[in-house]
Amino acid sequence: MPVNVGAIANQILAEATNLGGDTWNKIQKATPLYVKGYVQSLADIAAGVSKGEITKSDAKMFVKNATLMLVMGIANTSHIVLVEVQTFINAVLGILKTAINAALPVPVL
Amino acid sequence: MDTSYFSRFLISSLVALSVAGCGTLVAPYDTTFDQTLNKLSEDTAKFVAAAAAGGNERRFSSKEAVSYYAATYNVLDRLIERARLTRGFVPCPTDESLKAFVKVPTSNTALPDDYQKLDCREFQLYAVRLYVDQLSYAHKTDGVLNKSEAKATGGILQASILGAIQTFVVNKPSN
Repeated sequence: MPVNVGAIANQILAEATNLGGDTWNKIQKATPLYVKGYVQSLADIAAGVSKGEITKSDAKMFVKNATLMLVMGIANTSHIVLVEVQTFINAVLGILKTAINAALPVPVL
Repeated sequence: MDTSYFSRFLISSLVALSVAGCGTLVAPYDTTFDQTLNKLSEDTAKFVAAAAAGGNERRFSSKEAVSYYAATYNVLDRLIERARLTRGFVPCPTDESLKAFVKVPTSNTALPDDYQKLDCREFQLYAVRLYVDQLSYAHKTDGVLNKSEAKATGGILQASILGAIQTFVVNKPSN
């Protein structure tokens, strides 16, 4: 049985369309935690300096470290995208396994 | 490109992808991570609140503080090792940034030689570790964690733990 490349490609494209839609919603929901954490940290550091309980040199280091919260947000976004890509690849492999194995005398996938 | 050539190319590419482990771009969900991090979040909240309220915890040399830091570093190092053993195929794009943060004098964390290969879960665990370092630094400098230090360094540590949990549950199966 010949492999119908066009039909398989259409199935894969349909799968991609289904999976892509929710990614941005997940990113939007996740991001505020990191941004709020960063802003709250700056506010706490500033309050500590004004009370004389945090030195200016320590405050400078704490402010630099606070930016790591934003980087954590980027890492989380990357992870969300990779999980979506993983789901897509799994779906593609599933489609191909069925279609290609059926077309060959010996299953190869 | 004719259809048979394309089919052979497609098949061989997929076999190669499967063999290369592309089925694991990201590690599968593991309940140990978010359960352990949730417990760490609870323990940290109690510890920081007690220190801010003037309890024994505010003194760096207190039994409570020594116990908190020992347990916290132990938990994080075990989680980092567990994550390394199931490392995803794709490194986190933020890995290189860790180099700058470990150079800040508040840091007591050493990066592994292969830090550029950390996946995003491992990256988050190293970030949490760096915030524990910052809390410890604020605690250790004059031996006492004052209220402002507890709020500033304890608060962002808590936020980072929640941020890490959020990453670990991204691919949690829905019931």
